[in-house]
Amino acid sequence: MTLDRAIDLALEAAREKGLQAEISAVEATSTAIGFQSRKLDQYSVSESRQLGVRVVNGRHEGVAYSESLDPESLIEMIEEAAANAKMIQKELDLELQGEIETPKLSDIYNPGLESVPTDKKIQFAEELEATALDTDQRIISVPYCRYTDRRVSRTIANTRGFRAQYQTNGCTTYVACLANDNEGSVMAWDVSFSRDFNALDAKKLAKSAAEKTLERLGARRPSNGKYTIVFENRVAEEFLSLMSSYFSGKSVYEKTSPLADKKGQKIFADVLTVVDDPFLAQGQSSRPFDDEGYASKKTTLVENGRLMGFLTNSVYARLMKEPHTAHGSRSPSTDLSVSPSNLVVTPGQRPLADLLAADKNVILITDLLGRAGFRAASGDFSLPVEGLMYVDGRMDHALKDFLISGNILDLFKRVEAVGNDSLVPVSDCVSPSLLIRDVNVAGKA
Amino acid sequence: MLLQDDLLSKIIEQLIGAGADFAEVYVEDTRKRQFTYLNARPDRAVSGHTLGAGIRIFSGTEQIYTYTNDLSEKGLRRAAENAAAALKSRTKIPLVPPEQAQIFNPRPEGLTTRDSDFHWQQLALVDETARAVNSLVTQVQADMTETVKTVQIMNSEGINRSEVRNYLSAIAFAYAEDGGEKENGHKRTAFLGTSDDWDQVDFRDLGQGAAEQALRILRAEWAPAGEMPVLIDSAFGGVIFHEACGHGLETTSVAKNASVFCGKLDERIADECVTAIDDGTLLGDYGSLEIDDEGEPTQRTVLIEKGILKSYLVDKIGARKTGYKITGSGRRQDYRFAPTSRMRNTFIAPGESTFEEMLKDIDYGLYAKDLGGGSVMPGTGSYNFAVNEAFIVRNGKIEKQVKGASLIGTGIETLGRIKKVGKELKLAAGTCGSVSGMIPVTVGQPPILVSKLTVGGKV
Repeated sequence: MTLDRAIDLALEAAREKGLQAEISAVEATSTAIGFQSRKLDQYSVSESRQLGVRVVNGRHEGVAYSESLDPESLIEMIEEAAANAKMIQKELDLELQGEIETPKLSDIYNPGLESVPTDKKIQFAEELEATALDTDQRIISVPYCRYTDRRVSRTIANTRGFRAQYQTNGCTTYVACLANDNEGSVMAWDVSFSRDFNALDAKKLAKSAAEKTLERLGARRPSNGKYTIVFENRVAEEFLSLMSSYFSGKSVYEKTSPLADKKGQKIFADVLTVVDDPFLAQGQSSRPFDDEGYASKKTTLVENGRLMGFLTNSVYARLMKEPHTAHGSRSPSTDLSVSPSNLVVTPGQRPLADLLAADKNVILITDLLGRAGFRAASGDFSLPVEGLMYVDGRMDHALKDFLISGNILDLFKRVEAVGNDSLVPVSDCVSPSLLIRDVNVAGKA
Repeated sequence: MLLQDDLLSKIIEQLIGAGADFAEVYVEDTRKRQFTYLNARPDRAVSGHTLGAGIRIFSGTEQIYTYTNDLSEKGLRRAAENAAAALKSRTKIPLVPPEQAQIFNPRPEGLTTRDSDFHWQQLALVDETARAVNSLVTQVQADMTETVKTVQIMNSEGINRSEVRNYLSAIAFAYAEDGGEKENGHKRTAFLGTSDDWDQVDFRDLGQGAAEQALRILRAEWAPAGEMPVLIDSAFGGVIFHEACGHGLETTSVAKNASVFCGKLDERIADECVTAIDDGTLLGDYGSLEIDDEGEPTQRTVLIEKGILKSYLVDKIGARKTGYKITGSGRRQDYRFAPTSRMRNTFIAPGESTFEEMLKDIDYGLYAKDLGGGSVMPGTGSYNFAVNEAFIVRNGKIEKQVKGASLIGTGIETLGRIKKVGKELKLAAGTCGSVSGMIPVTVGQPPILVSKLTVGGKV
């Protein structure tokens, strides 16, 4: 059965039972290719479909999902969601999207990507690994060399007559190199994303990863102390992503976000403006409408350091008496929540080289090695990182085996300068490099 | 059994006929129920059905994987054609007929035999207990999840096996707030069982544990920064071995020459006090199985014996690449992932030292009482994990509580610095993420003394 037919059947079953229901359906196809020691190591081509229903009845809400699309399973799914809805009572009446007009966004799907022959993709991955291995004999292996592409089709439909679909696609390629010298092993990586296969450059990416890896050889541990640091753009993106749930109206309402009660206050440094932009052409989470079916909107969250508002869906906008920003999020298997689309730090004017010359010694943080040391409730963190020590604006030596610690809101309050070097996003956060002084570094005594 | 043997046999024949030298079909049917209590009332009820098949073929050490949730003969044949189309070299191997189907752990009952009211009552108890601990507790979230996962695996070497796996998981989070400062604590239990086995869980203890931890962390000062001896407590403390060593012993890394433990079999990699085991046979523990996700019987694998490296964790493709014998360690999150070598219940075996002896050895250091999650780069051996609760130790005595400390080190260096191992082994359930997805595991150890680790506090 086609997914479209399954959506029809599920809606019919809901209507027959007198239920208000919203269907979320996702169909995805993907290819993944990996090379190892100059041989094709992994090839995967796959398709999957998932359909979920959210039944609402006044204040009641229940969710069920199914990957089996036969009529019996779909009816069972509707019955389970209805039974679940009887148990759950929210604070206000729930409403399904009633608009029939469906917003469009054309830049997020490239039909040309669907016709790239498999051989070309395999050749790409082969060249990626070979270039990395051949760059320098100190590179002893390429533990990760992957090409992946993915097409996702998402449909939202409800018993009030709303039905809309959009497709996104894109290809991501990732390569990590391992190099060795007398002082041990070091690893570094690079990644790129595009909706256009021909825009990917295997040689350039492999060389970049290999050069980053070689630059790390001879890495040593910094001494404990307070340092001026620069978060390189990808690391700045990861720190922004640690905070992304803070902007959710749901987290604010439930008092789990440290930003609750801070609307209108200065929460970041003056140089920081953060926007949620669902229309970014190369964005990983760009979309014409949210998961309730409401037309996407661009939302300024932080303007020159001041917290302007939160992200909401139809429920939290009413509960909090805040503007409805159309950030309802749910996958077929989850209930309705609130999530950002693409969180974007507005770029500044200063090039990275300028930030790295801001002090006699500046540590460029190039990698965040793990996220477990972040405590979301308070924003306190103690996180393992790697980096490069710049002296008088020039790279002096690589750094490893150390941590930085502090509080993430305090850190973003102390951002002194914002770089101009944002990259094509590989996650739903986009940021240029950021300069911050007096950051705690734990290394050797 | 999910699909008829005949249908799976036909798909295997099609794949071997197309020139694969190994073929496998993995079918999965998972039913899940989740209950979430938040804001002191039922907040979320979700029921789910996951259904799909993964088809895998080998050509030498090349692995081709495809999955679908169209389980009709047509759907499976199309997936098989997609897989076979990627074969570069073609071989002719004899097909071993499937064995008589073996079904492990069949459970006649469905997902839950308990009425939903039971779940909400338990979750309300968690909420009430947590809030009653202190008026500073401002929010509580409690979840109960029941999962029944049925897997069926047939391959071209004759394996034809099914297993029903029942999982229970409950977790409580409590948030405490005082003077603008906010913190949270949590407590979790997870094990193999059906809904009848919820009786084993003390829900009051979950709520109380989460709330008390939130309050303790709220009142703690920042940890110091730098290198110092660390006494790591039992149970979830075992995450140190999981990250520092376990992942590096998986052939997923070893076969790529991307592990610091490559080529070290039968070499000393730790002090004599360290014996480490990965055991899928423990009764009821979260990482236990009858068969792995390649259909191989699970095993108890001694990884390190008195400091000597004895075995890696080996899956089918890892065995092909390295020549080591399979250890029943092929695992995957679901049919969307090809299996890779993974840990099950991994722990350091009991030693001879008492907690007090280990404490006395520390002039100035850290006692890490409860650990959080962690991660590792097997290629360099650099690992890290978070410490939820820790205390300063001075002159052999536990002093004030501190927070915000992550610990880092490198695998081989840290193993060499485990100087004492305590007597009382405890395990704790967790979820491990790696290339084949998120899987249930346990970690564990008795208390251990590590002579030097880098603590990431404030200067």
